[in-house]
Amino acid sequence: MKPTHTLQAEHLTSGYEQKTILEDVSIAIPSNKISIIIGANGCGKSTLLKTMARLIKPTGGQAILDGKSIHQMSPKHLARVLGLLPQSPIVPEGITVADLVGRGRFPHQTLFKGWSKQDYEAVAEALEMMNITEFADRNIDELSGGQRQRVWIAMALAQQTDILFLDEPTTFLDITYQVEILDLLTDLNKKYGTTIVMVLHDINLSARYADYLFALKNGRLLAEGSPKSIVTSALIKETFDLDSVVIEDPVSQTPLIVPVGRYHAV
Amino acid sequence: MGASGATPLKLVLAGAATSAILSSLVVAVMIPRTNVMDQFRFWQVGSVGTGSWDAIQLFIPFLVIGMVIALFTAPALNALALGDEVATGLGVRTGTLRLFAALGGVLLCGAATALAGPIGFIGLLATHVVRLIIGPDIRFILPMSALAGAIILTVSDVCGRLLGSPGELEVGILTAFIGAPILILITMKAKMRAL
Repeated sequence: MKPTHTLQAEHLTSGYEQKTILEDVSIAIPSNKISIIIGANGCGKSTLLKTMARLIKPTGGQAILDGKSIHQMSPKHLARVLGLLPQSPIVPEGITVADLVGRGRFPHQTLFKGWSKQDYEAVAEALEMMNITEFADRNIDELSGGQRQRVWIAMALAQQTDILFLDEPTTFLDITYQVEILDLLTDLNKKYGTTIVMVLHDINLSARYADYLFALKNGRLLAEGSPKSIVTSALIKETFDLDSVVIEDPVSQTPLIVPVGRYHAV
Repeated sequence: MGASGATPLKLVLAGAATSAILSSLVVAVMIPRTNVMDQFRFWQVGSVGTGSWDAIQLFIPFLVIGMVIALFTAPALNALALGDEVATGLGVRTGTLRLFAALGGVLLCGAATALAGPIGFIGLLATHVVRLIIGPDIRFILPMSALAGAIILTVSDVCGRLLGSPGELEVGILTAFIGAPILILITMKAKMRAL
């Protein structure tokens, strides 16, 4: 099992240029669990993730990993503990699956030491975990959207971090692949105890796969807790400004949100 | 490079502006010195014929430092090729890396241009051809491009001497004439694939 880490945001305020998107958010990420950040478009969920993964410098407060501010840690050292898969990474033209996954080993390599045995093993394991070993020598351009996303997650896995951040890893995928990706991430959490923090759009899948939810609204934390304890129609109304009925998911016994809309009544 | 980072368009515009400023400086240096005007004419076209061991010796430190920087930044550049966010997640200081990589490029290109004049398109052509052949790993692209560039330059120079005999067709003229259309072909092919 992966070791336990404490990862917190303390009074985090952040945004782009003059615009403040995230305001005074303090949260603690539960170690070795799957946490999902939910909220309406533009509520600051991606900004929260990016600031905690040091892609954006906070304008106030700090993100703290094991007692140290992450913006003051050595980037390479941090990259061996905290991995990140952003929303739209760039695929270099003509790159093979194995080459791309191998690039996740960067923080473990030094200038004078080439590829080590651990590097090859980590890549093989990541390919295996994402069921893409057979594609290793294929060009990424030839793969489907769902397969491509598995390759990116494999790259993040090859980094072998204890904590993994993912920014909307299921966007643009068919429902089948969405479930597949979330199942694979759950495998990862169960098998290695990897702490997973992600932003998801689908509230029902979030309620099903998360151990812990953070609901944001207008850059502030609205509610946090296990899906069963916090997801109510009142919370959905406040978070998304949507009338809904919350029932029990017959498959996972987690909360299931059924939206109402203007043409139907409860 | 502004709010949205160094987009290709911004890079092209910044390059054109820098190039205009620098060539005006070159002209400013040249105009009052009629005695070097003749030498300048050949340098401006780009020719390896005017190179000498003395001149090369003078530039060896620049070339060595440039090469060392290029080789040292290659692994991090591989990470940067996946985008700034992925690279940051992999522990790359993207700003510092860009600065060093640019410094390496400026040293190498600057030294070569000072020696042989602005022989166009070889740098662009060599890297693109190498990339098509061996794939996108920058650790291999860099040394192979140096080799490919040297081969293209030598072949072009020989062709220029054969075509221009009994005189010489300067290699800079030849590379521009052949290199530009090939480069357009490569970019068109890349664009087709992206569509």
